[in-house]
Amino acid sequence: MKWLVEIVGLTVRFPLMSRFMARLKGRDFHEIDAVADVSLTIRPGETYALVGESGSGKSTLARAVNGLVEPTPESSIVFNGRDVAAMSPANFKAYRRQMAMVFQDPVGSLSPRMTVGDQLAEPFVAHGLRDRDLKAECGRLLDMVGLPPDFAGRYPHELSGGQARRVGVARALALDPKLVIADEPTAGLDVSIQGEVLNLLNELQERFGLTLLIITHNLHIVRHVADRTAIMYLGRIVEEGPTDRIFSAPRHHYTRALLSAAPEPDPDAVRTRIELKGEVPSLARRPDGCEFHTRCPKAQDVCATERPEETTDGERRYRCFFPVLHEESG
Amino acid sequence: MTGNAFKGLNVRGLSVDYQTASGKVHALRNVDLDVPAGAVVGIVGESGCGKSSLISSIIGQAPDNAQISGRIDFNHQSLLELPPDRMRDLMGQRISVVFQDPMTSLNPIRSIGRQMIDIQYRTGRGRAEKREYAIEMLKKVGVSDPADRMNQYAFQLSGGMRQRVSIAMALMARPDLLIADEPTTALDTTLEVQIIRLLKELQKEIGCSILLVSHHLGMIAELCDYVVVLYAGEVAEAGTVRDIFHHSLHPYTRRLLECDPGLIEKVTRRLPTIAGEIPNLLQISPGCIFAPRCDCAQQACLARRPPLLQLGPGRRVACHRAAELDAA
Repeated sequence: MKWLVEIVGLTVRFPLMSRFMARLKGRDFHEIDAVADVSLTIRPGETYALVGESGSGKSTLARAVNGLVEPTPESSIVFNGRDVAAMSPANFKAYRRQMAMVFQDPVGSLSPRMTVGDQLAEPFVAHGLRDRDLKAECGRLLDMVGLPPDFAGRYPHELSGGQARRVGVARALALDPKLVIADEPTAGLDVSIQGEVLNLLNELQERFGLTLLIITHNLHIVRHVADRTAIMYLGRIVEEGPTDRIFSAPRHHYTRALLSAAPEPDPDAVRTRIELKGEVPSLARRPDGCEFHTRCPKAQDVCATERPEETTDGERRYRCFFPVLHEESG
Repeated sequence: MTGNAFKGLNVRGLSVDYQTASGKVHALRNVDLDVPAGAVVGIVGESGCGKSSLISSIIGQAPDNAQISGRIDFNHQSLLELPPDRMRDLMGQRISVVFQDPMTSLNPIRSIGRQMIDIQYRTGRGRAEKREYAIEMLKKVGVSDPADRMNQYAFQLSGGMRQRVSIAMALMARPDLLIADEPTTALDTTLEVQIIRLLKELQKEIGCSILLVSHHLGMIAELCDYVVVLYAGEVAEAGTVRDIFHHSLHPYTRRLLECDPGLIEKVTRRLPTIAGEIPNLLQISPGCIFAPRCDCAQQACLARRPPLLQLGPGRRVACHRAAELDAA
């Protein structure tokens, strides 16, 4: 099988307010596209990074893959050869076992009233696997993420941020998933331990052949951990390609600005920074044409009226009328 | 007092203990810190390093169970001995703070304009004048349509706008010292860059000192003149920004810099980490506080606490092996 995940034309639409409230307030019924017509493919065993600022739709995309939000009927998500969107709920549950999510807030995603052991046993209970030796499974999972077995009796408030994160990873791995979706795996962690979590994910990936979908805004870590990277802006993928190519020769001006924005920990660094004006526009007022034209340093008239189609260039694709030129790509 | 030139903030031997149900937590121990007039001083610290204790002690907002000892001198005036009303005067006018989360530092049920006018109550300006000044400040921090924003509420602004508003409010009184506590943590990368530049420009214009607390090494490197590295409630190392980033002497600083993925040039799947955990501050070990996690630790490090060596003006390091590690 070539792809583990194959997404075509994925759109996730949220109503700004319900039809009823809109009528009550005498306003038009409005919907926003949090994810707009996204297509992407993830190979088995690779690490794929989704990068974007808040409101770019990266978490919504992951949630749609995971079945936590419903995409529009035209969208297609094929996971492991089967169309997830077309599945009945019962079928979906069985499929759902093959993907797991590590949530953003390490402590907040654990129940404060359950012990670590109980939380690690929950996936088995939820999927009707009570007959397994839950205690042994729990020990196995803790061992896998490098925590001592006595952690099973602890409550989340007794854990440090890094330990809570490990428990989150252990819980995600409980049912031997094929795909692990990690939403901001290093958010809220100190620099000295964020590597721990990434190394752990990487190690588990090698051991079990996992496929990783990492969602983050931290470009510094993406460069080290991801095989391929997609940059999202206002719900759309503006550029995608092999990570090293994205970093060495970005084609989209947004990618380029993002790369130059990350503050470098060197007081003498020469900063050739492309500073973007203003902020990400509201999804409710999606700009016409290329969504990025309102902030793009190289925008021209056509960018404000026409939406650029996707350009494919080898393993890379991007949406821009006037892509960044690089000598080597001549 | 306004007429006098600002002489800086000097913290000497500051210790903060918290009495808790499980015993005394020694959150800060014997911390020295200088913020000279017009300088930007960064405090690098990971969680549990005591930066919140430090800030709350400086601004007189330490919790009730805190026991503070040592000296905090602002303009040669001891803040810890200042009566509450004098402290309040000082806080509004000479020292101001920008907090991490602008959503919680702005009043949710008062318009931006009302808040910005209210905090000028000491100035004796007329209402129209206060309003005008508020609009001018908003313009200065790059808020678009400042006059319209005055009628808006915090929830109507985006995260970046909110943080701009809180910076505008903090600088309205043209303070001598601005304390910025993780001011960009809640913001996206492209906004972070905008805020860093804004702080840089305003600092130059107003000439205030900034005490910047952040775990973001990139931001510290870009903004600061001097850096203090705090670990588990103690100063590990202090020096100029170049001392710290190019010539660090303390193993903790070195390891911390190694861990920053932004400083690792060669792409690697195995990122470096500092093994172990921040020590329990209920019982302080007799040795170096970093020794249990330090790969250079020797017998002496576990037995004896290293003194904070003064290597030059403002250059300090607390490590038994600093000299030999430096030579190596």
